[in-house]
Amino acid sequence: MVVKDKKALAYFPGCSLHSTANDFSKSIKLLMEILEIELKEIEDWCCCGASSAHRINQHLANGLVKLNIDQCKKMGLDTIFAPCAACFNRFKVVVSELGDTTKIVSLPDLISKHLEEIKIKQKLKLNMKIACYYGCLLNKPHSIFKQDCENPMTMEQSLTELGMESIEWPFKTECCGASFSLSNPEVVYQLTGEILRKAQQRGAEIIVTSCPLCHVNLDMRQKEIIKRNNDITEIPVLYLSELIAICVGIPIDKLKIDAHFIQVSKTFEEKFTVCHG
Amino acid sequence: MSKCMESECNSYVVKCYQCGKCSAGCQISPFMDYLPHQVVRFVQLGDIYVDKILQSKSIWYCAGCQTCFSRCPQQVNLPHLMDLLCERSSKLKKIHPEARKILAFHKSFLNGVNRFGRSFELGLVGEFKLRTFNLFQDLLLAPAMIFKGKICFLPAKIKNLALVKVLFKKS
Repeated sequence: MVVKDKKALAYFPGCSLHSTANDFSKSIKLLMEILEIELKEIEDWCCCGASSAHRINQHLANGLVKLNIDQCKKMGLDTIFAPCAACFNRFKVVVSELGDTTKIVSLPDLISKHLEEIKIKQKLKLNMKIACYYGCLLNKPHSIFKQDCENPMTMEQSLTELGMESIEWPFKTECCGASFSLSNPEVVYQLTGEILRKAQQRGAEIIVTSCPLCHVNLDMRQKEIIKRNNDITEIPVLYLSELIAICVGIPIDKLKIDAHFIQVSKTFEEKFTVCHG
Repeated sequence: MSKCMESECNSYVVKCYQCGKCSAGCQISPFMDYLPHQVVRFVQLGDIYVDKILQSKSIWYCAGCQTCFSRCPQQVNLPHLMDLLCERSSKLKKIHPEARKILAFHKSFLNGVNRFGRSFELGLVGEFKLRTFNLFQDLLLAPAMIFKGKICFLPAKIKNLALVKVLFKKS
């Protein structure tokens, strides 16, 4: 039996997970329950300001993150789990600037850390070619993350361990256009179009991501992108937590996958096969 | 520029030797009027050149993806430099006409945070549309988003809003 340190994590959902990414939030809660990881939502958390505050007001941007870190400390916790990549990045940057000892973890880190447990609980594996998409904010800048920011492999390594196949592709850390989704969708159509095209050229049948901003651009904006580019076809985009949740036996209909704009195919469930230890 | 911000900007750009690696890898560069390494060059030259940059599209179109910073052989924190220039450009009201909608987005977003402590997306979209007179953009997406339960109709207000308000006041 694997002994894990089961200290509770301070959970910072961020604004997206309470609204547009409530599907992401649902899958995380169910998955953490199965993995017996206790999440304590940071009491009365406030928005971390991503990705607007740091653009026009440095003092405010750092101050908002600091408020949440202080709140976490009041709860006696030392590790913050921020599933949204934009929030995660802001926390990482501010903690590094302040020289604070609070640890910040992302979803791919957490999955990779608890991989042994996931393997024990794993029931199914997905038989599709998966493109792992990190986006810009999970591994960059290099000065803070000190890891391979051009070709991160955390998600691929976890999926390989779980018996699934991921593709090699050069666009896994390219920018999707992030918050331009509202202020200038043309930028998103261009950038996200390139990402979808490259994933499909490399044979991906499904994209897995762990950022709600990327998900909005890859999923909600996808139909418009297809209209503009006839070489791109529909491709479902799952959150990493949704995929792992299905693998450890959470029924698909308990997750909110039908809230995605690009629906998974009717035969999606048949693509999962039983996993034998 | 204010002395403090000027010295911060200079501390970033002084190391740059204009290799152009930032511009070569910048995905947003097709939308920019000056390439990232040119922005740095103008800041190096100072005075009237900085003014040119404060009025440019480039600083607002930077997505802050951190690619240039990660690849820079001199570790020039270009995304942060862009942030500082945007802050300055916004304070001096020198915003490029094509970048006004980007600033409108940031302002609408932060207004929500100031009011409730968290972002309120429906309010954000409403305010953004009013600020930009762009009432019809993405209107067709709205019914699907409501149907899928992706829109909250009421903002979530935090209890300790006073602390957030103090931050907004100070800055």
